Amino acid sequence: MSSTSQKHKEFVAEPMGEKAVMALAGIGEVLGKRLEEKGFDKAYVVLGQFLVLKKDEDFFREWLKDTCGANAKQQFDCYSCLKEWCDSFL
Amino acid sequence: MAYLSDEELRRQLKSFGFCPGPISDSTRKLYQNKLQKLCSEERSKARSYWTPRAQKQAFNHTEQPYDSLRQVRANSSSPLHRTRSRIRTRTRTRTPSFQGDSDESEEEYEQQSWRYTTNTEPLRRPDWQERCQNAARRNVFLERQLSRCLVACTIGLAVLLVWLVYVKTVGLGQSGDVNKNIQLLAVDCKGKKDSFCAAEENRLQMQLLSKLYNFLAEVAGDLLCGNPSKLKNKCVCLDDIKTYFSVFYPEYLDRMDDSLLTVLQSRKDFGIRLVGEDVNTPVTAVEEIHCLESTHPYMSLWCRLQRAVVIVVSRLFIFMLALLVLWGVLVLLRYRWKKLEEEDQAMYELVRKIIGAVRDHYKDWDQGLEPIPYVPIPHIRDTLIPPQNRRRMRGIWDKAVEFLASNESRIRTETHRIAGEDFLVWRWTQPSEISDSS
Repeated sequence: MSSTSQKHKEFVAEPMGEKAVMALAGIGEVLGKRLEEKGFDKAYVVLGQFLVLKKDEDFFREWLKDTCGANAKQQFDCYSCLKEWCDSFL
Repeated sequence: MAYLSDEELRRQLKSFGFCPGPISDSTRKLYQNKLQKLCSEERSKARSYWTPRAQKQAFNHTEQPYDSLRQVRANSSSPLHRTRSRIRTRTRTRTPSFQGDSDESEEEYEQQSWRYTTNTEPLRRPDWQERCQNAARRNVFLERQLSRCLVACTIGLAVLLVWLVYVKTVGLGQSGDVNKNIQLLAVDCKGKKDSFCAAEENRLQMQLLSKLYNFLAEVAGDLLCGNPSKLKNKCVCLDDIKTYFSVFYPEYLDRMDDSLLTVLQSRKDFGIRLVGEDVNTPVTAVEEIHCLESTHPYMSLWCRLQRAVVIVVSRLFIFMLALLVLWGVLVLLRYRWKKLEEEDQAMYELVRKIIGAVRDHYKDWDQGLEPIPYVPIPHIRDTLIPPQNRRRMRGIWDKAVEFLASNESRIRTETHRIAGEDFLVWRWTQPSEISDSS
């Protein structure tokens, strides 16, 4: 299992394509499972949610917490991963 | 079930100045929480500002969201105590048992919304509002009273001031009816020494003195205020006084010496100064009195104002002069500093050009275009400064040369003989191509 910073680097380095939601930084097995059960089975669906919330940090973090119970660090890692990805590829 | 329609939620969020993104199933709850947060902030702000206008504004803002909250509360079907117990159990078990189906999330929203509504106490809202309005109304009323009081006080004080000024200048010395009293007096008090006569005598002396005072004060005032009768001295000769009294108040004339004696012996201030032949020595006997002068001259209001202005201006004059001088010095200093700064700027500009020129010369030598690696200082000067400026910029040039000698490490000053003449030269000593700081 690679560390979060490693995951972050790998995710941000290329377009996400069909990567699973567990490829996102901060999202491990447990959180990934919960997200998949809610219907967010691919990383791009979470990206969709991120964009629908207008890339706002507070909203996205709150949504993440409510949806899969992520703690503050996991929220922050996921948010910064997606944000950087958007800055590079969007 | 949706307590608030998406359009309504969006509209209310916009009324707070917040523009939400798309409201979908996943984002609805977030935006509802945001709306509640904004409502409670607005309400707490309205509580702290007790003015009617701000209150009105706050109520305009809270009006609609408040309706929405009431709607929310009304829509929640469960009675209060049941949901309260549910909250207690739910919050304890919330984090571990996370199942994540939509029904549970809706119920949790319900709990949260109920919690918010109880915190905001909707039932007590009318009382609070009325209390607030009453307090505001009372404040306004008090303010009006206070301002009216202040206006009345100001007017009263102004009237008082005018009256005081009038009394001081015009109202003094209004003792014009003594003549009548004298005529009414039938008793002959000459030579008698009883207490009644002594009192009479005293009274008459006082009257004489008051006449004398008036006369002297007028004379002094005339002298000070323009001198229309061309007087020379405010000290009036005793003979002149006697003449004046013999003309205007002959009945007092024989009491003159006694009155002057009284003035001399008394310690009270009669406003009349007795001056002898020699101005500086004090007078001890009536015979020594040469002239009299008033210590409280009569002057009209206009005259007083003029004198006051003149005195103030003359006293301030020296002060103003000193200030002017200082200001002039400051201006000069600033001018000087500006000039120095300009010179410095020119010097740095020249230093930059010199460095550029020396470096270029070195590069040319490196490429083989120049025979020697160093360049004489005067040659650089003549290259950079056109002939018409050379004399003017001599000071700046010298400063620049000095600066380079002490502060530039890439240029070295040497002495060489070129074509038979000794020159001070500059040599560029930095061989590598490091980029320049400028």
